[in-house]
Amino acid sequence: MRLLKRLSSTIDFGAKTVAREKKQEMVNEVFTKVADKYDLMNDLMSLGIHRLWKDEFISDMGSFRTSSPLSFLDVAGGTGDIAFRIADKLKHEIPVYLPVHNQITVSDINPGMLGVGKQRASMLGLNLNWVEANAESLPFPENSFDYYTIAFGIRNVTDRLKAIKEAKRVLKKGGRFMCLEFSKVNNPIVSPFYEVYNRYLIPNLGSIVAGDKDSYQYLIESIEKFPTQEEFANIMAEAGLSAIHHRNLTFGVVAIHSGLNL
Amino acid sequence: MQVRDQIVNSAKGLVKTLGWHDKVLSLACSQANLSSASGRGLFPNGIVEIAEILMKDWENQLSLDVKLGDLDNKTLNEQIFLALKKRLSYEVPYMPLWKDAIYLGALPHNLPITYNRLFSTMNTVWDMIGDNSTGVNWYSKRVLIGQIFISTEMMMIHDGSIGLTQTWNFLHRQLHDQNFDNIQDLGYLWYKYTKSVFT
Repeated sequence: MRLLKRLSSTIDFGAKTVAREKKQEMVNEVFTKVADKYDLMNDLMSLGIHRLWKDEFISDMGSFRTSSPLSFLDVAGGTGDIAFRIADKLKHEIPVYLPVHNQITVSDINPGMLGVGKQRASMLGLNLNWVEANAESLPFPENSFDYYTIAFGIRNVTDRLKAIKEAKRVLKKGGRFMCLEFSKVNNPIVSPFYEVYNRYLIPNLGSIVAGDKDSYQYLIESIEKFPTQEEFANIMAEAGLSAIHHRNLTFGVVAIHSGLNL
Repeated sequence: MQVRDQIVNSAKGLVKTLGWHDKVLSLACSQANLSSASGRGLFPNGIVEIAEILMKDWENQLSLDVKLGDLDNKTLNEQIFLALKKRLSYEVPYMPLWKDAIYLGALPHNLPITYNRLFSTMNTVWDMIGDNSTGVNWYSKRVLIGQIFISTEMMMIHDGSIGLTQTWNFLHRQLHDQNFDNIQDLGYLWYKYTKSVFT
């Protein structure tokens, strides 16, 4: 059954079904359109809570005080939210911060999003690597990174299993895969409010603030179609990661999944 | 998992000298030829998980070390003294940095697990001694010696005397005050418990 699904020529794009080859193109279109207003819309959609989610994601990474320099890859992290937080944490935890020793690489398939990130980085005076790349086939050698992070990016990837296998490939032995993504709210009290918020409030906000209802409709639908916490953990296991665990934030609105390349 | 066990053993040694911080986990991982990123990956709660593992190990060790022969012909007070002294002696190699582990264990996030481990240990002590109480008595007894244990542990952290005699004298006094030998009934137990909390 799964083989049939893999071989089928169609895939979900939000609630619609489109040809598999077309999905990447359509996702690209969405993000090129929203790139400028991406941060503003994040704030409005999550009422600013996305900052707390990202902060929690970063604190989950543990201590950066190590004897050898660390290397980080943030995938689908175009506008740089996660990368800048990592740089900040490095600055605080390691007294003498030598940018050349700890490497942060940001990759994104969309040049528009990368452009926004580069701009913000130069304003902050940070020196990071910016690479345009598809998560399903990364242009990095194997065994290159200690941390692979992907925040709110994996649901836009066509073949998630392939992307996670790529993650395992580029991670060093003992390297950690961390994923922050919207997930299933199981709480029976919160769940109806969340659904109403998603279905009615956000697309309308999108049309008012960004003048683009369709893109935000896609974003909401892609959240609904995303696998549950357990299903995603199974996909990670299938890709060959070990020590997989996940935890919910905000009643399961988002979840942090973590796995190791052992 | 074999790798996890390897890192646990390595970390158990490192915390004696380096203290209780996530960077010790990172060091243990890099010593096992893994990226230091795997520290939090294997132990989501951080270094405090090592403390929890240690408490579990000590509980098991206690039931092996205190043999029935040691408990013969002794009053209840003395039996409890023996068991608690043995349990506290396991912590000696980890002193004085063990106070950091206590601090971590007392954080609200970790408190439920710490409480569980302690309660389980006190339950083991009473089981070894041969306790047949039921109901509220069962809980009260474990909570009582739990309290005594914790206060003695605090004493031990700041104890500078040779052979920790100050700590053992303190433990003796606590048990004497509690007077387990002469426990009469539930009412008496609860009176004692409430008194010890407020004085």
